Amino acid sequence: MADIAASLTYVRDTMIPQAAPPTREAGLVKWVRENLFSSWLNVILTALAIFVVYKIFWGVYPWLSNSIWNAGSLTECREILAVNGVDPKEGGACFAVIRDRWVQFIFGFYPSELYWRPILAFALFFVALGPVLFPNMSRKMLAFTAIYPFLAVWLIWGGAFWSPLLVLAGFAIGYVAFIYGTRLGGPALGVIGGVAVALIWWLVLTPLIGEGLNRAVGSARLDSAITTLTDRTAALAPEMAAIEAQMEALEAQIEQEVAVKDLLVAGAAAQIETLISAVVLPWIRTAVAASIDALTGLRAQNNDLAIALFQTQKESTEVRTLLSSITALPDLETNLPDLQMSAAELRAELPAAVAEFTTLDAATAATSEEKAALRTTLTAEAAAISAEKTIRLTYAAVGRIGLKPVESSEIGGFMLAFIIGVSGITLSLPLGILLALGRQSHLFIIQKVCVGFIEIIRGVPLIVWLFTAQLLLNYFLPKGTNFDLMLRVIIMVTLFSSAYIAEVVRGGLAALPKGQLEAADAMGLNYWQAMQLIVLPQALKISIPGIVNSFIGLFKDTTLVTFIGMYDPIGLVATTRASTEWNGVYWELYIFVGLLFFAFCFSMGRYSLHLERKLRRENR
Amino acid sequence: MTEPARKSMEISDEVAIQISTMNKWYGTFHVLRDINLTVYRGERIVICGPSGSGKSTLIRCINRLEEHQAGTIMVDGTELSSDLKNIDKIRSEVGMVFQHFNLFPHLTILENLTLAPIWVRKTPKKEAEEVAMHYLNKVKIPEQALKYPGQLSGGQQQRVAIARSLCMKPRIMLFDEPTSALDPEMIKEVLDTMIELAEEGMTMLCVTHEMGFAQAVANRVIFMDQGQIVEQNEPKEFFNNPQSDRTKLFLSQILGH
Repeated sequence: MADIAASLTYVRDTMIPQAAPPTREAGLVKWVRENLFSSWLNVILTALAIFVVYKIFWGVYPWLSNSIWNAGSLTECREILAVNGVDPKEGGACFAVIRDRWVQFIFGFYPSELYWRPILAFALFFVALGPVLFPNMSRKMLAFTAIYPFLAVWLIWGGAFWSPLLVLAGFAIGYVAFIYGTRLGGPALGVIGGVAVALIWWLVLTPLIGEGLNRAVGSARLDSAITTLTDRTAALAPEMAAIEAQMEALEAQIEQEVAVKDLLVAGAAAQIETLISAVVLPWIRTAVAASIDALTGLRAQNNDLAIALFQTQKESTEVRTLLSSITALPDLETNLPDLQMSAAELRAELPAAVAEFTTLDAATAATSEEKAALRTTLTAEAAAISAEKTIRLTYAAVGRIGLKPVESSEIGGFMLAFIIGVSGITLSLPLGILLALGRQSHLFIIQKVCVGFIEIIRGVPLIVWLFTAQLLLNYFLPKGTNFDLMLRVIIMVTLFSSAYIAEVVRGGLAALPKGQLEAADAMGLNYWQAMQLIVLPQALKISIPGIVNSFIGLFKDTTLVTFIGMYDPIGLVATTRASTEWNGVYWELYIFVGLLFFAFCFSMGRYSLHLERKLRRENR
Repeated sequence: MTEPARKSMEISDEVAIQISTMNKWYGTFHVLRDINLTVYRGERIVICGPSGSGKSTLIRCINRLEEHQAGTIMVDGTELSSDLKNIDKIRSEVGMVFQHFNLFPHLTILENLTLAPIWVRKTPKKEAEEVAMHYLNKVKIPEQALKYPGQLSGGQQQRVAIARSLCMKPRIMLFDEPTSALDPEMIKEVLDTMIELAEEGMTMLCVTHEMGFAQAVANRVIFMDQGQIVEQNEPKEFFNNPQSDRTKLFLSQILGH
């Protein structure tokens, strides 16, 4: 026993210093052997994978390599493919449709002379986004980020320059009310007071002030407006005539060129059939290509003219309508009180049975006499309202200092998806965080309300909420308020996404050790400080992948608005395919739309990875 | 703790904490039963007892991390009730050190230390940083100020946690098993810091099983079992001449091996 112990005795006299690891037996061969052919199963899987990739590639490659970028319709695409002698089985992509329609896919039906506005808004979007995504940029840039939403809305929808300022002022006024409310009666009163004051400002005072400004500027401008508008009407007629003449000449030219092209195509077909084409066919191909080029050029000119004509016609209509409203304005203004008074009198004299009804359909039990009385009243009321509206709109048109307004229904394509997606993302993150905190709250009612909200929103498909936004929301709002459909959709998408964000953030909150909040409590931080400084930075960091995942989902879900009659990129695919030129094209369009979405979703995913890596590096 | 006890610290007759007939339940489980305890300013109290005896719960009640259901707790003359203002006031004057340090991993050491002074005490950032560096010097790791907690050893983290509490200039310090999560080699550096603190006259309540520490600095040892105070005495008497059988059993088990 003692001998063994003695033989095991050991004392180290020098410590081994740290050494470099052995250089790996590197090289491509090793990598391939380890990663592709490490076992028989892997050899088979690798071979199978290579085979599948090869098949897919050779299935798609000819179609892509034969693609036609220059043609006026699908028929022309096919003619060119035939002239080029492309095997019909291989076929070729007709990307000419994208060249023809991409502008529409980006902007929808936004007036083309105003494209600079969304483009500017889009460029500024990145300026505003910079300091949010990359915290090492100047903090002062955040001020621009805060203003950006109002600027962007104004640029895209247009209108008087004071409308975004009035909305901004609402925030300032709400904040002041919050400060005073807190001083008077604590934070609860502050929040309620702030929200109430801001709402009153936005819903009641903002329209009043806006109208007042319109009226003030409008009445000052009325005379000069009449002169300009009359001059413009006179100038527009010859302009239109000139454009029409140009178009006529151009259309004749196009017809001629088409005839030439048809002749060439027919000749090519004959040559291919007779197989004596070695010399002639290449010449014909060049000639067809040249003819198509000429055609494309002519058509582009024609298209520009058509747009110019359309714009002139539109302007002419607008000018004439406005002119007639201005002329009618004094009469309308004098008559309005009478109209309103007589409507009120009629309403007061209504028989008791129908006195409260505002539609004819509602009065089912009424006699025909009562119905007739109601009908007269309603007609009078409608006349008064319409007169009042005409006056208001006329002043708005004449008295606007700012950008030409654009209707939401004119916005479409990728721009629509982008506006809904970005607004939804920006608004749903803070709302989702609040919901997640509410769900963890000890306050019974707040907790139950949050849980109920999250479960109901999550449990119903988005498309149902979109239909709700389209059809039902107006029933719940006071009569006469006409909420913009796009705004309603943004609200719904935001609520929908925030329920998901809330659950993702809740996961992050749950993953946080309890000791963190205890330490914050023990140091005397109050609830909001603890959340803002300790809990949320850590919980959100954990939740980044999930949050970005929800954002990507939201962005792609914006395509669902096509079902409620908005022209998102998918909706425009249907529109394009309904045209005579491009009936039958589908792969090319869906590839284009898919790539656009992919570009955005992929960059979001990349940014999320970058952020995760950066935060891991910082905190480890 | 082989250093000789230097019990030169003054104890005033001013009451720092007054707990009277305090009771607490977790659901139907009676965790703390009729606790009566008066702590005088400058006292160093060690609380020991078997696990589940309620010692951690007791000191967590003092800064309201746990809510008591009956009896009263007065801290510095302020009664702990559900009044949020009182709770915040007491919490900012009572420092707490946790078993698992609970440093904020997303903030640097310096930011960990200046957070509460800046947000709760509204100290200017520069001043808060000076104070923080002073206490980091005191716990002997000023060179770690710009690192993150994850880069420090357990003992260093716990010393940062102590410095973080001290930055709020507390009048009372609570220690909840500050060395239980540490490797044996790191326990000493934390205990040295605590001894230094005790020598400066800080009022301390310390839940620990470090009996050496108790003998070196405590002027009272409290033994708890089943949610009640079973025995309290000055350390010498407590260790050499325990009165209750439960205490004797406990001491024989923790000192015996």
